[in-house]
Amino acid sequence: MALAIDATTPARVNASAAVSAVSGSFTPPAGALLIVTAQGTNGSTGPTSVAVTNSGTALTWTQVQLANKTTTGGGDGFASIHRAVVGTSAAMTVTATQTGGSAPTSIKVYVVTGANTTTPVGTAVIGRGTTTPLTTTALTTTGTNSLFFASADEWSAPAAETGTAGSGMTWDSWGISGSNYGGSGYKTVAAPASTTTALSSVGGSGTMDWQYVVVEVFAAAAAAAPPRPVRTITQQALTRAATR
Amino acid sequence: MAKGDPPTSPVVEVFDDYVQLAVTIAVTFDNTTRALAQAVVSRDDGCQYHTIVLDVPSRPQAKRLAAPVDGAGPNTYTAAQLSKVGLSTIEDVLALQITAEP
Repeated sequence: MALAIDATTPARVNASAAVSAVSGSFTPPAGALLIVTAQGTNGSTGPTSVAVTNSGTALTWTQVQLANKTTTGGGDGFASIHRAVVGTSAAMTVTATQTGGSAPTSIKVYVVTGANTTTPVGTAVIGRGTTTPLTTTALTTTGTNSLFFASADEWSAPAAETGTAGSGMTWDSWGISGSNYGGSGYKTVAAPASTTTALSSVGGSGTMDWQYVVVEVFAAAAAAAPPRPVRTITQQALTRAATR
Repeated sequence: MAKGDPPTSPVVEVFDDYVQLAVTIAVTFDNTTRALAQAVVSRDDGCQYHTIVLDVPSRPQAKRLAAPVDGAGPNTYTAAQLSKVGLSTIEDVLALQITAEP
């Protein structure tokens, strides 16, 4: 089963004036992998963490990576990626809350089917940069037909920016003029390879201030081929064949 | 515009579904008085989202603006219509989180 973004994926949530954002209700299928990407503004030092929770039966959430002033050595935005595996299909909402950060907050939840739910993610890379376009640090995927996810924030955003990501990314962006621009996206990497994406800002001016996280999501292992039938040939049968 | 300056008109938010069909809200307002002029909601045919939600969707006070059905033009909400649901200035809008739902 190939990795795919499921139709139950909810819409991005943009909270211009809050340190938390809450998705609309959605019902992911059992066994789906939820990837939550979050972006926004640091506080004076943080955010120190971004906590993700869900309504209904609590899922086990793991922060894959967080790029912020502390982890990348500077910058005023943050970007993060979080994951959880859905046990039983049920309606839920997802909330991401910054601790130590400040508004705005934007989240995008991706419902991913066909993922390896035992080892969902491989290598993750975080980084910071001040140019546009900005090429992310290379991440070398190790799986076959993996999904490469990115979450990025451009904090300087003095104008009404729009943006794109290159290298075949399906990109979902957001922006608030005078505040932040950011986005998240994904692409398929068919074979293990060194992979990057170019984050571009259109309409901004002055020095850029990017924070980003990229991560590999593994596809579920292909089902093992059924065993081939085994025939036992006896010495007696060989002797019989040889004398015919 | 400098970093930290208040947003200028229009404020546009785009919400893509899983096949990159989108519903969009464009809010126009007076840059001086901040008073809302109108909100225009448009939608790509086939987009799985049909409503713009202002505020946390599960809250009873959440405000919902319907998007047009397939083949229809954008839905325009006047300043008077927005005022009736408590939205008079762009700051009223940006104080709420914004998303879309089916």
